Amino acid sequence: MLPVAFVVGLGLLAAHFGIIAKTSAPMFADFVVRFALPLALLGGVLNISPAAIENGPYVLAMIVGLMIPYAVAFGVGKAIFRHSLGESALQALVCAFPSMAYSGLPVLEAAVGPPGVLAVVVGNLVTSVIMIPLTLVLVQVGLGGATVGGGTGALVGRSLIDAVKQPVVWLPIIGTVLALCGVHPRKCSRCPST
Amino acid sequence: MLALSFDLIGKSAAGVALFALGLILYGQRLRMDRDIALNVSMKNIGQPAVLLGLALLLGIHDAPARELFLTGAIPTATAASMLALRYRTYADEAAASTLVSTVGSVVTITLAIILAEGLA
Repeated sequence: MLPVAFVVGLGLLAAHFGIIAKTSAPMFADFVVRFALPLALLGGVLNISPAAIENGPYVLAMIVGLMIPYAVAFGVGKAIFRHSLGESALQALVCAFPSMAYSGLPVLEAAVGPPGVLAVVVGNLVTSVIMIPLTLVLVQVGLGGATVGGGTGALVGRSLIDAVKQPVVWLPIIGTVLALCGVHPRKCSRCPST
Repeated sequence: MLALSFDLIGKSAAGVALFALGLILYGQRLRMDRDIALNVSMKNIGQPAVLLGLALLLGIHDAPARELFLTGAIPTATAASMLALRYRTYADEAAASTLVSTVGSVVTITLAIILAEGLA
């Protein structure tokens, strides 16, 4: 918590003293989303061993448990708060995406010991392969729907392609396939992700 | 070698994201609207509750049940704000929610750890 406050505080100070303009925040976001995050997620999913997903009920609970809050938040955002499709998808992501590797590892290791790392690995798999891609597809559908016409099917298809083109989507998916086929880099159980 | 290369840049994701979060939050009034309230309660309370419920439903006990429960209790990832910022969509709300979720997690994670210890 303190390290988090420290780094956020540095960002606030940088903006306050005009060292780095608040308007350049999107540039940092571009760096994170297009470079650092895809590789962080890749590092996370490469740690998966086929054994990690053998425990069916555990993996099922993780998938459903992470995605139910996503679905509920999306529904509330869209139907009750009247947000746009993209806004609702990002709201859902905020409600359902735990900061696993960063805040999660210390908490889980402290509370349940090394097996806690498994939760991070499986959780990362769900967020990297299901949650983030789904969010990007929804955001793209929202963006596309706002600008061009055309059939719903075509729009969804195009949005899918646009989302899959993002390294943050395809890199972890390829990594998962490789890891499940038994390709492993040198073991690094502390690879950070989010 | 490859893993180390990925690790080197991947590690910067969390730090750079937090720094950018500070930039976005600058000049934003500290507020609590319905979006932030929903997001934080869903993340910090709703998600661990759902995961615990599913664990019990699926007959998962002991350490794995505790892991699932605690995973849900972890605050929002900064990556969500970065995606919001990149698409210039929901960026202010995402940043504010992430901050409140993280600060609030000091209380909710502590409670979750205490509760988890009671899980047989």
